[in-house]
Amino acid sequence: MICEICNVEEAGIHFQEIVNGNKMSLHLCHICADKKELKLDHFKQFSISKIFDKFSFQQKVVEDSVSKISHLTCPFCKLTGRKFEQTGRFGCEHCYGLFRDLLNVFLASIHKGGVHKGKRVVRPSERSQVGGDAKGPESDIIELEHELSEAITHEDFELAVELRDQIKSIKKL
Amino acid sequence: MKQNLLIKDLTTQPVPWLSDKVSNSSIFISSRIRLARNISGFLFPLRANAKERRTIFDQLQSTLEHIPEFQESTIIDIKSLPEIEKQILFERHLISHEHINSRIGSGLIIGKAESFSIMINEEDHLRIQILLPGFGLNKIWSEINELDDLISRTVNYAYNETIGFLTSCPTNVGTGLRASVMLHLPGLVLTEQIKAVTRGLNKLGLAVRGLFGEGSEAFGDLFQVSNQSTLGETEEQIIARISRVVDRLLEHEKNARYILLETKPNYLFDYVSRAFGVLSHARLLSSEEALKKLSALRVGVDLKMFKSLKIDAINRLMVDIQPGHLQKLFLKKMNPERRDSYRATLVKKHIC
Ligand SMILES: [Zn+2]
Ligand SMILES: [Zn+2]
Repeated sequence: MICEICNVEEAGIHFQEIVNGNKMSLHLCHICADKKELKLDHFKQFSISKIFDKFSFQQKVVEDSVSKISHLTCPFCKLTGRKFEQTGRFGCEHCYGLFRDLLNVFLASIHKGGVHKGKRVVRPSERSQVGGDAKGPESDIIELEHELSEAITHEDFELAVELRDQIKSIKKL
Repeated sequence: MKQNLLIKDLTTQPVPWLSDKVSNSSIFISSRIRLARNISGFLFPLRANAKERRTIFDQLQSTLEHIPEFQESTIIDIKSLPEIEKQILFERHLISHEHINSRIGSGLIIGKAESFSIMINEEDHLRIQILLPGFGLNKIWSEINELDDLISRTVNYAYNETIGFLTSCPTNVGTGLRASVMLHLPGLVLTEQIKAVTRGLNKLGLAVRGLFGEGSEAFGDLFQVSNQSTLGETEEQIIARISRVVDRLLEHEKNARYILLETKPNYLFDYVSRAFGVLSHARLLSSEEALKKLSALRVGVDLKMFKSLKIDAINRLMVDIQPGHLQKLFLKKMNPERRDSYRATLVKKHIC
């Protein structure tokens, strides 16, 4: 398939967008897609499915992982899975814990593996002046939220209710 | 006119860009590294509200002020700047296109003599950048690494032992490092090899972009080569990967120019001379045309076609002809047509 914009290059990237209720598809080469991305980026619409497309994942894998996160909401920044799907941007540091199932699927593929090998952070020597501690009750909630989403996926509603109440009680503290 | 074209007897002389010193510096324009960092305990800027972004700006200011290295730096509230000043910061590569459309809390710290810069509340809380002329990723890395450590001694970064520095976009997670080298590749463009080269680099996991980064056109045969992945390699490995490729690009470019000179010398000289003709006689010059022709002129300087024209002067012009700089230089706001006229005057003055 040839790129629909330049009619020269092989189209390696395929978009689908709903415009005024009509499904539009667009087949682009990498060069033209980069240009399109600038415009979309401009409006902060960088969709996660596009990240997948870019690295030529199979549609099935994409749909599966996206459906896994679409019902999740980050308890800290209130980012929903759906919103992340549209923007490709996380709302806070805790999103990384919450959406880790999705990350596990694609981090290793878009990067050179899924584990950080670069420099270690130098932590503030005294009590830090800017920024709080990432540990604490916050990480417990993320853990529970994650278990909750697993429970919902496996339709274990008894466990889900229990987890939900636990989360509620921690948040009250 | 002080300037003379010296086309005669060229072929009897050695090709200057094959003698390393001159050519490398004219092919390698600049190198840059930026680090994306976030502060633990705050929402990322795109998610934070105006009040939180303001708090982040204020707290960073009051904290970083105490670091000696920041004593002679400037902090700017981008939102309070007139449009033209923002345009100038953009043209100097100190802020991104997104940062021009600033919001409450959008900031910029500029180190002494532009030795470093930090965008505050762009996509990430901090985007630390060092930009140097020529090729120098290793030097930049050691400088920016130190600066990063200094900041992290007072600012608690969002960081995870397994996946490193946490960023708004997961394509930046890990090192948060984007290294890029800007090259001038007219030889590869003229010999129509640039597309193939770009495709080859993409396959190696490197991105090729125009003058102003993501999505921008490759005006004036200027290209930026940068890493796409940020996780799973050390910073040194990322930099080494780019350096290897950029070295090969340098050889390709020299080769392309050599082949042009061997096989189509008249074509090459004509290409430069025409550019000189336009730049020295035009009454109206768009920034796009000016950049294109200045790029050709650079080739001419490498070919020693001009007695007194220096690469530095052309580099300077490439910045000064942009809309923001031009208006600042002539101290007046101008519509595009007036700008084209003033641009033509400026270029003429400096090359003739
Ligand atoms: Zn195309
Ligand atoms: Zn979040």
